[in-house]
Amino acid sequence: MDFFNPVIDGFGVVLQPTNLLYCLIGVVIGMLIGVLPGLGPAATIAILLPVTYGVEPVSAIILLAGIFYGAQYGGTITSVLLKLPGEASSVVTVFDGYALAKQGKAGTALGIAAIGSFIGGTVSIIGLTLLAPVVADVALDFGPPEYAALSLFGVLLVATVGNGGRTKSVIAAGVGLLLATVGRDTFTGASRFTFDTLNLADGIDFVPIAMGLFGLGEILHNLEERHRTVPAPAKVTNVWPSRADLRQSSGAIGRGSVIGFVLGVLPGGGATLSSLVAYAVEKRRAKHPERFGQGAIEGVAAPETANNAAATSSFIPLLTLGIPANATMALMFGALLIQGIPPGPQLVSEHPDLFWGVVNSMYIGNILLLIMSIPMVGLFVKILRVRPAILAPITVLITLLGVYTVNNQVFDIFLVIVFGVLGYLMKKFGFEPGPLVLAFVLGSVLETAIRQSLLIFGGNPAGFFTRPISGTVLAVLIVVLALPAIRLLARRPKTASSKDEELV
Amino acid sequence: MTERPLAQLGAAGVAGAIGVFGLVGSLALGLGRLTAPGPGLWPFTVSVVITVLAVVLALTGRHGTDTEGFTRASVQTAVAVLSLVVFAALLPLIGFEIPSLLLVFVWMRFLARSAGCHRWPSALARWLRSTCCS
Repeated sequence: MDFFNPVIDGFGVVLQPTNLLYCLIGVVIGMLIGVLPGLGPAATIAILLPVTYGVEPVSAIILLAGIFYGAQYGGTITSVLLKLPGEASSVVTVFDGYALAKQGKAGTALGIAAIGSFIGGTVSIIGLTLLAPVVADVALDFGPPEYAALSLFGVLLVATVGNGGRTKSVIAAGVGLLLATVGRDTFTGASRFTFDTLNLADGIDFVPIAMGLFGLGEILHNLEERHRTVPAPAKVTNVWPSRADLRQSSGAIGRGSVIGFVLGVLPGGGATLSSLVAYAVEKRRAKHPERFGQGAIEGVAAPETANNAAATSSFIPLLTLGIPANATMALMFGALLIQGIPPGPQLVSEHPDLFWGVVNSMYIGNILLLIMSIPMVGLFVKILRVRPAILAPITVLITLLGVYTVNNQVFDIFLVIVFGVLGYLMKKFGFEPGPLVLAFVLGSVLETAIRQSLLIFGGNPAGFFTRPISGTVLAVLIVVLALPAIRLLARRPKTASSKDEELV
Repeated sequence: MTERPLAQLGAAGVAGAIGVFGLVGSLALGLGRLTAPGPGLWPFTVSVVITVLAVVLALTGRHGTDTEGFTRASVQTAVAVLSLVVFAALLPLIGFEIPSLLLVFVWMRFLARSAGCHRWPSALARWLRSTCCS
């Protein structure tokens, strides 16, 4: 079987002791920051980007991927025990998870969440294994117009589907695109927006932007929000769920896996959205929807399964098309670029060891997480006792020294501070930094693709719509963007008529 | 969550300023033609989008509730940023050891005040011990 040879070789890559170690470190860090409210996976990956410079590409991506899906596991623990979602993707778990904990069934909730996460993750990895090479194969025929359409699709969808105001998110994405133009123009050689400083002549590096907006911005924002005291967590006993609980939640886990996988692939979907959708679906399907919020085990199983499945499947667009589906994947994109490996359809054929190594590391990582999460819950809860007064200075120091080590440039430290302040102010004024970072990453891809396409089409922009694939992508994009407006128009007469009925 | 129309207008104003700056800058670079795009064409397009959306935000977003007000705690954030700038300024002059210690000390001290656990004399003592003994 030709297809399975690289898959098996990939296992050979993961099972090398160094890679196993990086996988373990990744999932442990992921779980820790998942437990700690405030610092999310995006911030952590941003802060650790400089660390990956000296590491082999495969190990670096295995480490970062481990942080990402490990955080989905960790976020559950605080949601259930303390009613504090460690991650945005665990917010819906709070409703039923905390209710279960109050009934003394915290162990059951965590156990089901861990098992659901494992199954969701595994289903998604199998989907990734089967689907990714096919997509990459198709994508090899893509030209600049297709890439232009896909990048635009990615940027705009992330901006519109993400949380926060639509207008503000698109503005943030626009600023990201504008920042990406700083430096020398690859077509004409002209210097753009460099203000004649040598430091900006090569453009702004991705690392300071990501570290500033995600890392330092979050730290600064958290400085003001640390006044809440952490309540004593509920005691965790009997983590192994009973057979009845398992039977009750098996349907939710199955549906959660599928929902998570599908939504994770779509740009702007990702873990948070899929956990919300999975919860809503379970509630709608349930015979007694009033149980939800009172401690329904499906209310924990479905979102936790879905967010892990989505975390895994969101690697598909990145590894096969080179288009990051969400902000965290934009950081992975940056990490791959740092390693000198441009993500794209040629990744599967040119770097099979990296592709299959990373994919297969997720199997190992999920098993490690399952082993760790059930017996070691008590240990992770203790981490919450670490005071922010100790954590914040350490993370800030790692951030600033880390960015300095990349190029030995003090200018980069100042850049991080500037973008940190920008990230802080953006949060204060209701802007999401995610679309900015994503747009910055895709900015040069998008501009190059559009300009190449214009040259191909002889300056006629209609060419984007006449090519079948780019035309379809753009048509879908227009439909998605117009959908809220259409829905608004459709709803208006209906609400008017329902008012009439009430009056009658 | 409360409405802060001024904050929303300010946000729209800043976004608009960035857009206009982009417009002026990219016009100066030269737009070229669609058959031969100049260096300024793409930034110009993006800037147009930013400017238009900033106007939209100014007109429609005034009743948004997604902003957070500045409180007394925000002063601490300003101090924190200042300490980072000082750190970056000192780094090339005297190496990273002393600025790092100072940074950690400042952050622990002013974080400790509101958390109510560490008192600064004890932080000072610990800092002295770590610098003298190492």
